[in-house]
Order: sequence, then structure tokens, then C-alpha cells
Amino acid sequence: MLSQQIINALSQGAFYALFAAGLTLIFGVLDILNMAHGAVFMWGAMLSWYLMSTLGVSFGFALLITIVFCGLMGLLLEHAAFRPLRGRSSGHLPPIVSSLALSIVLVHVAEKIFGTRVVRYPDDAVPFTKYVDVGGAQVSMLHVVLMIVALVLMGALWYMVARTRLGRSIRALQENPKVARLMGVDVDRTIAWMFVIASVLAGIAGVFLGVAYNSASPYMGHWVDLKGFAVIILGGMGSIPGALLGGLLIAFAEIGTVVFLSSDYRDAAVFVVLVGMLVLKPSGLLGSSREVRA
Amino acid sequence: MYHCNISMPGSGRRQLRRIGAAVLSVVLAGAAAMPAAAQGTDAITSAKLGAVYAFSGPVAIYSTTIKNGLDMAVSELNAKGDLKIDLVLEDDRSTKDDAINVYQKFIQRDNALLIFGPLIGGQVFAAGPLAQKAKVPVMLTSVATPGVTGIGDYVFRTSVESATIIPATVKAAKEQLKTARVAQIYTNDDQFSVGEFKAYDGALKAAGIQIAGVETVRTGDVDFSAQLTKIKALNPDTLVISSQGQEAVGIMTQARKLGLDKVRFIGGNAFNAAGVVKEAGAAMEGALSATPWFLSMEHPKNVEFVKKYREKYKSDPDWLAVQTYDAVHIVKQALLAAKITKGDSVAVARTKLRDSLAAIKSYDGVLGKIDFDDKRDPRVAGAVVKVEGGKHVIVK
Repeated sequence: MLSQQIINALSQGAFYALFAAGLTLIFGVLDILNMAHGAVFMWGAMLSWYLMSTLGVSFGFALLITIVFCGLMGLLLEHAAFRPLRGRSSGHLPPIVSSLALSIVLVHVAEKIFGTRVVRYPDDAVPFTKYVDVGGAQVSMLHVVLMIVALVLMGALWYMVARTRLGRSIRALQENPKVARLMGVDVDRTIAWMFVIASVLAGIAGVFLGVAYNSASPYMGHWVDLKGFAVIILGGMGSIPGALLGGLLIAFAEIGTVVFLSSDYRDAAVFVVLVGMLVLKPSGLLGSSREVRA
Repeated sequence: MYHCNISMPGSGRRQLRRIGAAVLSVVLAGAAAMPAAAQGTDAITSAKLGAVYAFSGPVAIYSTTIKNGLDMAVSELNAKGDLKIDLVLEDDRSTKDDAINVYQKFIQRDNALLIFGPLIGGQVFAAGPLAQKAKVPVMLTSVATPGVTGIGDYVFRTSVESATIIPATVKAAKEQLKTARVAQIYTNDDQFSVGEFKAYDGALKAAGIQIAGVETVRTGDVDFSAQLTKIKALNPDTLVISSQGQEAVGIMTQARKLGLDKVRFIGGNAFNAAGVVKEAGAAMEGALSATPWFLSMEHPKNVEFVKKYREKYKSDPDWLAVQTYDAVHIVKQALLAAKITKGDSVAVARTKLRDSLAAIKSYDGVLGKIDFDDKRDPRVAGAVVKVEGGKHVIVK
């Protein structure tokens, strides 16, 4: 049974990591907590459900449309909630409030369009629904696919940041936005791209979580936001491998609590681990401690 | 906040007619030189009632049929033309906070004589004391949590308490499924589910059935694999599920996928919802639950109700529609018997309605014969049902 629990934790962790990757990208570079990340994630799940169940679109095509849609939503998010506040030396609070406001709007729009109930995906539309028996453990192919997708996407994200031109701009921005601008980095464009990438990751996480647990609702973003923040704090804010590690660690903490303690404390475990990390290493597992700039 | 007034079509014209009638009666009274009747002793012609349910949010799955039950009863009763029920409908988004807000609105702003709802026990424990303190009668039509009428003597309900029918499910499970060793799983942040869990716990122990383990989930959870894997290791023959519908569906479908394919499910109120059976699909086959009411019950009032409901809504009613429908009828009966006059203040009218409701000790409704005990809780015979071929059938 332990092997089954490890598999349960791995698939849960892969999902947390995928969700948190976008969050950590934005936070690491811009020092902004994007409170609307969960809302975009929810839109990914709800839109793909709508496409598959109401319009009868195939899974692959629905995923593609959702990716494009969530990318555009990231663009909207950046233009509506963050760009107007940039350059105002008003600290961290305004972007948190404006993105929180936008996330409320996004949830309400979803309520109006999709309804307020928990929805289930049509059985025949979801691929990889088979379960395979691996040494007594039931492994869902869908969860395996989710794990692979999460790993590949996070690898690609890491590569993008470390090796590409856009990544260089992002890193320059992270060092010092003013100098980056002086050196010819198009700051607005770079930030817009970051939001597009982060939102696409959130959307993909939404689609996969939706189909993997066959459940989606306009309110599914709330708890994920909270877990996502825990993951990036644990993993080290701004670190992409940290998000992966943090996601896995939180999933193992949760499931370990269920197995060895009691399911009563499942959610509490996450935050016990979090507080422990803050005491021992405030910058997170793979985070570099930020020096205060003059 | 969504707000819709359920009013009869053409009420504007009726108002005109009423004004016309008033003018005419004054003229006639003047012509006959008779003193006009004292305003204070006239019986009221309409009563404003509030209804608050979860039309959005995680438990909104239950509220569609409730709204149908309300609509149907109100339009039928208002067609009689004696005392018009003016029902104000509000959404609490499945939250305690909004249930409290709406209660305050009904009590202070709308001057409602009675409040129907809210949907679930946790909300009632939060909002109910406000009504009790303000002496406003409350009629619950969905809350099956034990002890809600303990909030005070202004709280009534037509919803049958889980605890009173859960022993019937355990008995049926023992006889029909040969249940001997169970595991329990329940939602530990939901009063209703905790109440059901405790009722099951007591009934199982009383029946001498071994409880191998207990796991918990939280409202809104979607991943139950860790708990179910743990339960699988305990090897129970039956899993007792005490949760709302959304989680129950997830638990049952994931249990099957994790290889708990021989385990039978027994559950509480959530199992009785047609939506839950549909969404859980094949995973729920053979599941048992007790219900205060069932579609194919044969007493004449039920047969007639089911027929009318199907004609109107092109779907089947559930127990919530029935409890709500009966509740509106009981309230109307109490309103007529209360002899509330136009001169009565809202406070007096509310107290008269309460006393009149408390005087109704039994009612022959769609639910069957309902007896109200001294705690204002309903007792009905009910039935144990089983999911067979994706449909509920009565267990004989």
C-alpha cells in the first residue's frame, strides 16, 4: 500500500509544482504575488470542460484552445492589473489587491457562463483513463501523463529562463529593472511574456487537474492558490526547480500525514512544514537570500 | 447578490383592481352612512415570507429541486386566492456569512413573517439564533443535521433528521449486504456530515458491526486517493460515506479506480440525490441509503405530486422538493389558522404564526404522514433505497 501512496503523492506533487511554476516565475522576477493565478487555473479547467462536454471538442483540441485562451488571459491580467501600477513606488500591496480584484471578477464571470456547480468531464472525451496495476498499486495513465507534462514543461521553462533571449531579458529584469531598461531590454514586453507563460502553465495545470480528478468548479482556484503560495515559499521564491521540489515535498507531507498520522491533519501538515522551513531556512530550499538593495 | 421576487403575473393589474375596489367600498360605505369597518381587525390578505438557499457555491447541487418545490407550492396556493404568499428569494452562495446577512435582511428590512432555509446545518447554526432572538419563525426544509431545532422554539422543520433513519440503512446493510466490517469516511468540516457520521457510528456499534477505520476529508477536496488507499489496506466489506454530494461522488469513483472494486457503499442524505447517482455512475451501483421519501411511494398525495412536478419541470422531484413543498403547505395552513390581522405589528404577527405552527402536530403530506415531536422535529416512516441500474429502487 505504501507504493500506492507514493504514487498518489507523486501525482499530487507534480500538479502542485506545475501550478506553482508560473507563480514562482512572476514572484521571483517582479516581487509580485499574482493572486489571480488560481482564477486562470480555474478558467483552464472550466473552459476545457465546456469545450469537451458542451461543444464536443476532443481533449487535444480543447487543451490547445485553452492554452491560447489562458495565454490571452495572462496578457489581459498584465495589462489590467499590473501594468497600470508599474512605476508607482507604492510597494507590494497595490498589485496584490488589483490582482485579487481581477480574480474575483474572473470567478464571477465563470459563475455566469458555466454555472456554479461542480462539473464532471464526459467519460468518453478524456484520454488515458486506464489504470495499470504496478505491483499491487493502481497507476492512472492520466496521472503519469500529468507527471511527464509537468516535468517537461518545467524543464522547458527552466531552459527558457537560462538559455534563451527572452530568458536573458527576464534575468536582467530580475537583477535590476532600471539597468535592464537602459541596456535595451523591452521591459513591458518581457513582463507581458512572463504573464502569458505563467498563465499558460496555470491553464494546463487546470485542464489536467480537472480531468485527473474529474471535477471542476468556479471555486477550485481558491485552495490551489493557497497551496501554490506554500509551495513557492517552501521551494524558494523564484526558483523553478524549487517549485518542483516544494510541490513534491508538500504532497509527501500531506499524504505522509494521512498515512502515518490521521487525515484530520492533512491540511495542517502543509503549514507545519511551511512554518518549519521559515524558521530553519527563510529563503526556502533552493532560494537565494535576497540582499536588500540600496 | 441575486434577488428575485416570486410574484404572480399581472400583479400590477390586480393592484389597480384592489384600489378600485377600495374606492368603491368607501363610496358605498359613505352612501349607506355606515361607519367604516375598523382597519385593525381585518385579516391580512398577503404574507411576506423569505427563503434563503444556496443557489450558487459548492452545495448548490441541492437547490434546484428546492426552488421548484417552492415555486410549485406558492403558485398553487396563491391560485386559491385567499391569502397571498409573497415570497422573497435570496442566494447565500453556500456560505454561513451570507446566510447571516440574508437573515438580517429578512428580519430587519423585509419584515418577513417567516424564513425558509438555509440549506445546510452549519448555516442554520450560524444564522438561526438571529431569528430566534428576533422571534421570527424559521422553517427548514433541507437540514437533516441533529439538534437544529434546539436553537429555539421558533425553529421548525420538515426535513427528517438523518439519525432517525440511519439505523434503517444499517439494518438493511446487515441483512442484504451481509455487512460485518466497515470503514468510515466523512467530511470533518461540515456539521451535517459530522452529524451523519456520528449517527452511523452509533447505529453500527449497536448492530455489532466492526468499524475497522475512520478517515476524514474536507469540503471541496478533489483528491481522496491517500485516504482510500489507507482504507483499502484495512480490507472492509463496506465503506460508510458521510459527506455532501460533491465529495461523495469523488470518493466513490476514485475508490473504484484504486481497486476497491468489491466494497459496497452505504451513505446518508447525499446518496439520495439523483444528481449524485448520475455523476457517480457505475461506481455507485448497489449503494444503500435511507430516505424520508421516495419517488415511487404509493400514497395518493405523492402520486399526484410526482405527476404535477414532472409535467411542470420535465424531471423527477427529489426528497428536498417534497420536504419544501410540504413545508410551504404547512406554513400556509398555519398562516390561515393564526388569524393575523392588518392591525397586528410584525412582532405580533410573527408570534401568532409561531404558535399556530407549533399547534400543527401532524400533517398528511407528500412525505406521507408527518408527526411532529415535542422538539418540532418530523418523524416519517421513510424507506431504504438501493442504486440499481443507475436508478434508486426501494429495498423491500
